[in-house]
Amino acid sequence: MALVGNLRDLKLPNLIQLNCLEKNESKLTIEHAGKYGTIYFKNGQIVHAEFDPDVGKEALFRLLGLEDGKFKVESGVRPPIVSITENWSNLMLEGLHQFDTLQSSDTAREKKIISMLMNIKGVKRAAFITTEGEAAFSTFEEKIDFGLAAFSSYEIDRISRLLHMDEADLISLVKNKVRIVLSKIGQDITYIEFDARHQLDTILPYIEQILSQET
Amino acid sequence: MDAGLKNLMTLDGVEGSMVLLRTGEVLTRKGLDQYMAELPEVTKRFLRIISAYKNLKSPIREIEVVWQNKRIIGVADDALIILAICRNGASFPLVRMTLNVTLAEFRNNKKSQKVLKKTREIKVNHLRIGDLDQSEINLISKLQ
Repeated sequence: MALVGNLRDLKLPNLIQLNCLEKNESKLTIEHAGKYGTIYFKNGQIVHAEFDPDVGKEALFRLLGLEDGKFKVESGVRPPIVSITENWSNLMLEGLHQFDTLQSSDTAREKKIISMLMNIKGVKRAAFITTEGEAAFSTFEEKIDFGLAAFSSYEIDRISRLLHMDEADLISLVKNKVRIVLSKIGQDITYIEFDARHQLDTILPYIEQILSQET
Repeated sequence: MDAGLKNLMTLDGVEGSMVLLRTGEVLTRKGLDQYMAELPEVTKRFLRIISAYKNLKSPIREIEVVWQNKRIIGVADDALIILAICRNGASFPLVRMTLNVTLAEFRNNKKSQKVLKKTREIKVNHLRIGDLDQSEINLISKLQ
């Protein structure tokens, strides 16, 4: 049976990760604005991609830039050819990096990081907040959360200084049913809100990977 | 009341731990001698964060600060906060689990229940205690 959905609900990096980790032999088809793209998986790797007019890595990288589109995963479909031989996780990093460099202005950069963070499983909201507690870029509008994030970050900065440590890499707070993760990036604070069921140690590598590309 | 902290201290990578009331009073601590001078100021700042969220009726249950080589993990309820300072490489899930067990033990301990009941009755707003610098005043003004 085919798995169908929309990239708005299940992000492409998650779909790729799922197919690679499960070592599926499968075909992933994405329809975006009337165009079709395909990615083939075999033995835990991406082996072929097409997205008109590109084939191989370039097609895959363009597909990674899609934030919405219908998808279908069919199991047991063999790749017609092998156009990709690199390790899938390296390809993902390279692809996401290429997509980033296409956008150069500060706002576009922030938008891109937020978009990447929103791709992490369990992320409900994300924002860039100034140290004064204002939103630089956000997927939500609750100003009180910006203030709380900036205040928490400020107090932790003071604690770091008291303990003679460098700036904290990350702060995690669990309240009600959400986990808030704050991390300084340049002069801003990155705010990421998860469902509290997601453990910090599980999500930490994904956050670090995305933020380290930007610093 | 020290038994819970003793368990924490047996875990690999745990350098020290402490139990404090929401009022700021330290109930007990283990292995934090090297931070003795800074401890009052550090706890004050943790309590300010906790107060900020509590005032907005979204109390914090867990707080974790990750540095390159260290991590502070804290669990809290409406009366208590237990903090553990760990080196990188500690089993953080195990530390969290032990902290939660320790918190439950403190809550259920007959000796501490009296103190906890009293603490719950005292309303303390740490955003109004001690010296606040201008940045803190500005940020707190946005939390209304």
